[in-house]
Amino acid sequence: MTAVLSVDGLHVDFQLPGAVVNAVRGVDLEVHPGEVLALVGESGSGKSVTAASILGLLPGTARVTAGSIRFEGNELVGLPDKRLNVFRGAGIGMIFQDPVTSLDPSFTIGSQLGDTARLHLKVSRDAAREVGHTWLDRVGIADPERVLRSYPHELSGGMRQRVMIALAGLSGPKLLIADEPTTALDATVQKQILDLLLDLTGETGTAVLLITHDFGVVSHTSSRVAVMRAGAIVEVGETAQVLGAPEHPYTRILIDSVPAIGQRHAVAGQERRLLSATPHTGRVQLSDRTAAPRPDTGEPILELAGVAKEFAIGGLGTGRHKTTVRAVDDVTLSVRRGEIFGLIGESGSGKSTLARLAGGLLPLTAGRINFDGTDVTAVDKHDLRRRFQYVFQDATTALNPRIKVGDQITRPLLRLGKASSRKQAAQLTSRALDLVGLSAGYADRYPREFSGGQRQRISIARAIALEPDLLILDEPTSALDVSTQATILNLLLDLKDELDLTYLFIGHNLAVIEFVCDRIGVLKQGSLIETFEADDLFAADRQPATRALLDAVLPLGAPLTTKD
Amino acid sequence: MTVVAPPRLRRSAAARFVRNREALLGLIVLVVIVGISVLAPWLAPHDPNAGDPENVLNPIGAAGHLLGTDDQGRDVLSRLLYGGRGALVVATVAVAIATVIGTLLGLAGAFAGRRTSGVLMRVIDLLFAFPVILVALSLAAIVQPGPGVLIGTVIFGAVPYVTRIVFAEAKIEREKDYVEAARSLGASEPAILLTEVLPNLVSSVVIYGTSLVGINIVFTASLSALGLGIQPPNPDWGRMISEGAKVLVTGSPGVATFPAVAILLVALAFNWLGDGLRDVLNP
Repeated sequence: MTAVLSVDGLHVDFQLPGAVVNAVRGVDLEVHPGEVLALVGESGSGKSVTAASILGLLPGTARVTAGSIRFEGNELVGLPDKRLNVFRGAGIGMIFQDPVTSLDPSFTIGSQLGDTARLHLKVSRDAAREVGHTWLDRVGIADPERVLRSYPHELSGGMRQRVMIALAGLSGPKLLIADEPTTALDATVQKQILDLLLDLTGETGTAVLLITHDFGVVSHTSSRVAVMRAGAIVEVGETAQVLGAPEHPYTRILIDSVPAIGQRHAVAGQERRLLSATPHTGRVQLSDRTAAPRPDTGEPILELAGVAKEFAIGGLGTGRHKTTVRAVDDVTLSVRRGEIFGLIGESGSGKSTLARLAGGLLPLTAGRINFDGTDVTAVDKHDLRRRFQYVFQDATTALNPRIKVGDQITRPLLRLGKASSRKQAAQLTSRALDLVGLSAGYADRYPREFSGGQRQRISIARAIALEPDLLILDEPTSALDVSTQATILNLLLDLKDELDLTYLFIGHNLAVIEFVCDRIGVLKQGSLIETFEADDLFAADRQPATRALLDAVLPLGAPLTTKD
Repeated sequence: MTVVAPPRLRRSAAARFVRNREALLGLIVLVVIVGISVLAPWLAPHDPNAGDPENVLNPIGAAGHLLGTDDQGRDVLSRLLYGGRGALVVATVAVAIATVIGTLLGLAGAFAGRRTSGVLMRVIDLLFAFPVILVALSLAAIVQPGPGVLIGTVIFGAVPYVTRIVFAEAKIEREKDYVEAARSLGASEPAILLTEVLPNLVSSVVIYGTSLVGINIVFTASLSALGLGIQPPNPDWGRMISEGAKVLVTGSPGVATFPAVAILLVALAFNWLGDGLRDVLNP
């Protein structure tokens, strides 16, 4: 069987001022007709650059320096744009990661589908509209007429990605390149989109090159998988083979980084950690105060009673009527001292708003919040801030880019009276940096000099330097690569034991939440649907919303024979 | 599990500045011109205000007058060396003041409540619509024409622009997570404005302010040419152009051309410096 696409010894260099970056170094790939090949790797591994070079979509600073890319026997490397256009769309379709930016915001869906149909199928304007209509039907859109008249911003993320699939599919390409097609989508939508993609390509026998970082997606969709690291492919093979018995240690790390549902009890009698890491749980002291362990009484440290929040949108000067949106609706829950409480929900379910309400960062519309027995609106703000800390989702924006990280940690220490002098604050800072696995030598650097994982460590150091009682973790790992996520989760579990912390852990990935948390609350459209012990996740009386989240988890499929 | 910090990879801002040819050229030109202006009393061959009825409108290269003399027999070279002093000081001081006022107003506008911010920004819109030349004329009527009028007019003209730019940037910064993080770390609102947000705006303000100085050197020269700025007989580039224009076509082009070139050079240098700083400060 001849390959639809064969890539041989591909090298791509980026010419940056003062440096040349070898983004892709000798990649060999073959995609056969009708198969789904997954290209897996972490950010910066060169997987997207490989895909972009196939269609000649590399940015101006990048150049293919060696190797060949053959599509159905035609050499693509070095072809001018005009001749490449013969293959783009008609031969090779492309689906991009973010459906928000890959659809033109100024044209209706109908005109974008119609233009593509007229270009590739050479049909009349009316026939093109018909084609658009049938394709929207095929990608499972219920009311194609309305969608054809809509602009991209009027559709949800899942709908937009369906439209993108229709756009890529209607010209009947032999090969479809999907670059992280579901990364920007909610877990429940992700599975629908992947299944749709599989159905469509299965019908027409289209080959798919699927680029992803998620082994759940790989296991769910692909027949073969290629693992990429630092610009080179380290392992290729049948999906079941690679997932079940990975040969390369890096593949093993990637697979083990993602907690599987139920893995919290994988090793009996031992603290749960990812990547078989040994827990560091020796009691450490940031200052004298934590020398004695705080009593683990199981008393509630944070209590929310009937909490609600409404946002006003529109009004004078916006050209819209003033309306209110209920982001959080009558939520009652309590977090016990010493536990990890997980809060899960899809995007827009109000979990981040709830986190901000809990710490008094946003004013309440209704309800009461007690922290350690006192109302947060009445309590002394200094004391509350010191004992109640946050770690935000994206450390890139949560750290001030123009202030040295050392200053960012010492300032709150001085401000909240945790340290009485600059010297003492500096000592606490270096101890906090040590604790998160960085060194005091990093204190005089700016956030941009760190990697994503290091930045999140700094965020964590900034919060724990204050020795808080409660730490709210708002999706602390969702902006990170899986292997980085694993080390951060391990760090958080270590720190909790070392410093007697209580966590409120917010997330959208049920596998992570289930692995890390003791109790779980499920939010949907601002309401708390239910709370339960993490061990009871599979109990029969779970709500449909919880079941939907559980169904959306893509298991690795292959038996976890690697557990030892 | 202590990790020793590896060496830093980035060049310092100063190193990047030196590598940026545009910025470096702008800076060198400015240093030279400022140096000449400061040292004018020692460099100038003649008293810039001393007329000589015997030597009126000497051509370029005349004995004792390298760049010739004007219609009152004053040495053009000496007047050129002195002529930048007023303009440079006025433009720099006025823009510095305007930048500070504009930054504070813009920050306040971005972080105030909807109503306050609305009122403030509409007032700024009004200032945009107000003819600056009218301000200069009224100021000249109230106080004596001179550097004071120039400074007042430039401040009036520049503040709305700086405010708008800072307002727009601060509005973006306000939504970033680090502001919320600072709030959760107990920072008060004024502390957030001055110690968290302001450092993120400084580079754009400095860049914009640098270009503004260049623009306003030209603008103050125009006002002086109209008679609202530096008063005769004191030397000023703008004034020299307006006086030299009368003799431009009668065979003495140098009287107006040399100060015009000087203004052009300073304005260009400030703009080069501004562009270069943008590349250096926003890598």
